Amino acid sequence: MRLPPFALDEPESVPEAVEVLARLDGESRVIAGGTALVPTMRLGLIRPDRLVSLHRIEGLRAIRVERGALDVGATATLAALAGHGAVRSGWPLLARAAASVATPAIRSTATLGGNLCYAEAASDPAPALLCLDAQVRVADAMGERVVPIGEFFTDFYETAIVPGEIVTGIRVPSAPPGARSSYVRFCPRSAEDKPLIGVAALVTLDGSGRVSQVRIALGGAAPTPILARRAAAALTGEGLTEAAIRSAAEAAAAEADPLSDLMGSAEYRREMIRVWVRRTLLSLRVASGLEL
Amino acid sequence: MIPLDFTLNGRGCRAEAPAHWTVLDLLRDGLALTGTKDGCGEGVCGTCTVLLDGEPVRACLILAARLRGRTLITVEGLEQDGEPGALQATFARAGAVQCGFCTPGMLLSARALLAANPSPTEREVREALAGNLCRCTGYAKIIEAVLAAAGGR
Amino acid sequence: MAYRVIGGSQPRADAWEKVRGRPIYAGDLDVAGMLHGRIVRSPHASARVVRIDTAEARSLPGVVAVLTHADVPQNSLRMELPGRMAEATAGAVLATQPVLAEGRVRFQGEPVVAIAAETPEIAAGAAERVHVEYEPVPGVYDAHEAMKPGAPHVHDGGNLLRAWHIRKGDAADGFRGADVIVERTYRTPFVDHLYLETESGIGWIDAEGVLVLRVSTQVLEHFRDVAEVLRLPHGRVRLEGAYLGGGFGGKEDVTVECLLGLLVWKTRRPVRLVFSREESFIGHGKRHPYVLRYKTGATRSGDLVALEANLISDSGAYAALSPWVLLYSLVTATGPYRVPNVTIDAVTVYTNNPVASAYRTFGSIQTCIAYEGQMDAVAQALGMDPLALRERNFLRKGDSIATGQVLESEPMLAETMRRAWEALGPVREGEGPTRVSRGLAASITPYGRMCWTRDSASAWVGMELDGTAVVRCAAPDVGGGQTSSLCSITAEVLGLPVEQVAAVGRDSHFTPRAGTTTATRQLLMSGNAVLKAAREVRRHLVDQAGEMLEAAPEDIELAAGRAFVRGAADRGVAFAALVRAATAAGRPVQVLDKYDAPSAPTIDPDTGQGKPFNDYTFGTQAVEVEVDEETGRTRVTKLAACYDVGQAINRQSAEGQIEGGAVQGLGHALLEEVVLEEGLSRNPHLLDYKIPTTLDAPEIVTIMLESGQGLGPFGAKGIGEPAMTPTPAAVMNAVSRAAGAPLTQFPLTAERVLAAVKNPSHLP
Repeated sequence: MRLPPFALDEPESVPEAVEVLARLDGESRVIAGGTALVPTMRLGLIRPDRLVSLHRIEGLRAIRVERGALDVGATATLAALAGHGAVRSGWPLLARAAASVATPAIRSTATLGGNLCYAEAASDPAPALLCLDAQVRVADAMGERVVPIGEFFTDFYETAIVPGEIVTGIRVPSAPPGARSSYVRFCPRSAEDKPLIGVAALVTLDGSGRVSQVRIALGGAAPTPILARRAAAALTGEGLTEAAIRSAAEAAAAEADPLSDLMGSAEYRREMIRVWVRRTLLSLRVASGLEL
Repeated sequence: MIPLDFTLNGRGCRAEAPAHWTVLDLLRDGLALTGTKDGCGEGVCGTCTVLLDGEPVRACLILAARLRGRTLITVEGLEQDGEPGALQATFARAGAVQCGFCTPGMLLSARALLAANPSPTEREVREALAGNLCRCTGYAKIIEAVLAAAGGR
Repeated sequence: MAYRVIGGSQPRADAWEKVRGRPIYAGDLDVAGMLHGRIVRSPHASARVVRIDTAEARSLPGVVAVLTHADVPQNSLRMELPGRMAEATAGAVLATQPVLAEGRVRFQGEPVVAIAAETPEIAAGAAERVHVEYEPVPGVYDAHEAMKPGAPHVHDGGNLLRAWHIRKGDAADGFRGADVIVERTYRTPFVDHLYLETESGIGWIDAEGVLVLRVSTQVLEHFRDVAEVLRLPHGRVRLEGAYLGGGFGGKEDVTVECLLGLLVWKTRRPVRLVFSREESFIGHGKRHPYVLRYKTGATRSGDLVALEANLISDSGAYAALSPWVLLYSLVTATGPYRVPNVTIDAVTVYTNNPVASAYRTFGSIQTCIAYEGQMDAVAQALGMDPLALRERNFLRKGDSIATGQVLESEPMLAETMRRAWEALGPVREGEGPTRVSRGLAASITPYGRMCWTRDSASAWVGMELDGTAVVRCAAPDVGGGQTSSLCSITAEVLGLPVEQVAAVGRDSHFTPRAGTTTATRQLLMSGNAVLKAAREVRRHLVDQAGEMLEAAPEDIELAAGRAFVRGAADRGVAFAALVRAATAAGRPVQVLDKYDAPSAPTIDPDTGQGKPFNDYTFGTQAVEVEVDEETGRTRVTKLAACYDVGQAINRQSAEGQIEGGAVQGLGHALLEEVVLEEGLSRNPHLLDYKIPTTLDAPEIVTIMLESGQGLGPFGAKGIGEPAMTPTPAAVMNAVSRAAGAPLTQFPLTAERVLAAVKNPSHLP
């Protein structure tokens, strides 16, 4: 089915892109990979009369390590991110989350920036980035600003960026040395699906095997991806014992604010958060910290 | 209209398309290459799968404008000298084709898999083809065909 | 029986064009001057149409036609069994369905306006500029509610569309003799066919003024429906059958045909009409939801003594094929078992839900869920092995089914069950939270149409002067290898390599009519028609060869495209020379023949007694499942299917039907449901309506028994629909065992399974 006609801008640099956006009135949208935007347009849910496509901005898709931190260009594809050697070794949590999205033909096209801007509650990369304390770089015609990932998602399908702004990149500091991480997504229906919930966990143990640093982030547990702070608190200073993990999982279930939809009721989501936080944390008892 | 210069099935192609056309629109309605199918418009069914710079993509989700300077392979490009290529022949012989509507997308996803991973396990084949829905075959003979194409040729 | 071609695995003739992506589907053709069609549909499930304002749409440049009901010469489509009908309308009157709504819309998606424009974009723009004023009126969205007095009437005359009954023996008396009685209610949802090719067609008017439609359809006889709607002589409409990208019954009713024909006829220009996926979800008929209340009684030793069942199906807003789907359910309701006392009351009811109609198994899959759920429940109540219970009660040759029809061949049920069960291999134990368990379902599915339709099919088989053969037969190919089978049959009979047999076209005008590709009838009907014609051609070839080779006809063999004397292969003649000689001698080597299926009167409307079908396919599927006891998530890890297929024509094709049917059945079991709220679909998108992927499909083992007892060519039975019948029931039985509590509502979502696991006495 054809998309409704629109005008297309194809800026070749970020300054050009934000300048175009600043000038526009009417209904315009930024398009990166288009894997979320195009179906939404085809179904008539949004009707932009203009799209500003980022595909010609070369530098925007780069993935670099700079001074120990990972810098992911906004239009880097999830496939590129998942397959990148430095990401897989230095930020396996993020690589794993990116690799789990949809199918190869979607990952080859979908971008990290686009995924974050779409702001699905159950986004796979989002919980990984929350655990890793990432920062989102946003630009408009006035300049740049940085939005910590924890402030980026504001509500159901809504973000902190405003019209005229584009995400230019995501900076991910290096994980604590010796950290173990795991990303697990749960699909109750077909094995190929959006997840009902996703759990990302990043844990560092001290010399005596107690948890010195921990972050647990959840997708699908609330209107936005969230950090499960109380779950993390329940685990801090404890060993990775079954009891401590169980109480962290309980805390996560309690602090969740899940929705009901066709995939599952809120009660079921809450129960799944309990189950999968527990299972994900249990998997971190193995030194290699591999996902289930 | 946006002028487009790109490589299509190994040959230079010059075309043009309105801004709102996707690669799928261009293939089917601009270039009369109807092997690539329109099954859902959401990027889920996989019948529009083509290879862009060697990677599987959904033609229904990619604006035609993005083709400039790139390399595109469709099912029509899998033939060799007017004869079905080895992967295609394996599919036909293995009974992997029933109604055939999913077949072009399956072939291209399989081609991308085998180019990156010439000896996949059955699990890897299933994962690579998880984005190509089939309603007729139950996938059994499709997976057999891909494994046979990997093993034999 | 050793055949040259039959029973082997050959690549299908159509596979080569398909792997090359050639333009063989209805939506692939482009015709000069073609317009693009677009349908405006009701967003309401139940409303009056107050006004339709098309002025703005018509004024858009590039819009050629904007049509309403006023533009339809005969705005009523008789939704009934396509093809020939005898006394099939006995009983309740079948409602008609308008081509374009007039005054009233009764389901979400009902077509209201038809548009043709120069480009798809303009057609979409015109659709947005059509202004329809609706006044919602109370609707009814549940079949039980629709039966209550005071429920809103979907049509004049009430909501009861059709009732069927079986009365055999005395069920009340039977229950008195029962040691255990199990009562359960099973519920199944609306399900979508999800063929990957949506409804599509292209039409034009040819040089003789004939309206030609090239459509993805299972029924070429729809040319008559188009002719009636346009008030044209039937001979002025031609339906060319493209290869379908899947049908499964969803393209058995008229889909695009009448709308497309209307647009072509009114504009006098070629038009293409293709439904979007969302439109396909909303606009085409679904599988009937059923509520099946079963009461089964058995003796301590495991003999079934009585069955009482109450079936209610939701027909949705129009009749379509609901009365006949219900009849299939009635006939299969007792399953493949001997039950001496049977009371069944079955009704199909109008609601303002989506229209429900034909879908693979045609009402047999819902009853299998019920009768196989009951068998496991009775076995559990008796403390008896579920396989032993089944075997004890399986139908044998000479037994009668609940309609009194006596089975004339051996159903081989026990063997299908044992072999399917054994093929699952050694029992696996679960680990941690994963429970592993197994279940099975035996099944009965008719093949071939109901006897009173007096079904027939024609075919033409002829030799060309180069010694190759041509088959002309208008049997639509839905992807199941229908066309290829005809070539295999011809090749076998004539002693030709299968590559030297060409099946040319499927066309209501130019190829002998073979009826619908539905009801698992095509191998039986067109297969037998081709068999008869080919045998006649063979007779002529053999007679001619006998003369030429100075041998008796019975001593002539045909093989590898040559006729020769048995035992003296050098005394032979190649077909090209043979055909030329026969033609010169005035001997026809082209035969048009037809096959008439045996017929019988309609079954009794009050007792269900009679002979509803000529034959049935019997088979069992066994599954192994893993259930995660903390999440309810279920995976089918292995599926074994064993059927008596009579005789496989193309082995690979027959296996493919079974594998595909099983996975489609798996979707029905675990994943698929059209979710409705007051008649409005909440999931008309693939993002929310999931079907099995490669990651969901299990390892599948197929075992085909070949009794040679089928009525089809070479003793073949039909397998297309039977392939799917037992899967949901087998999965339900396995999951119920794993959960420790029966599940009876489909689909078996993780959430439902978890609820059962957590509540072992749970009975949804």
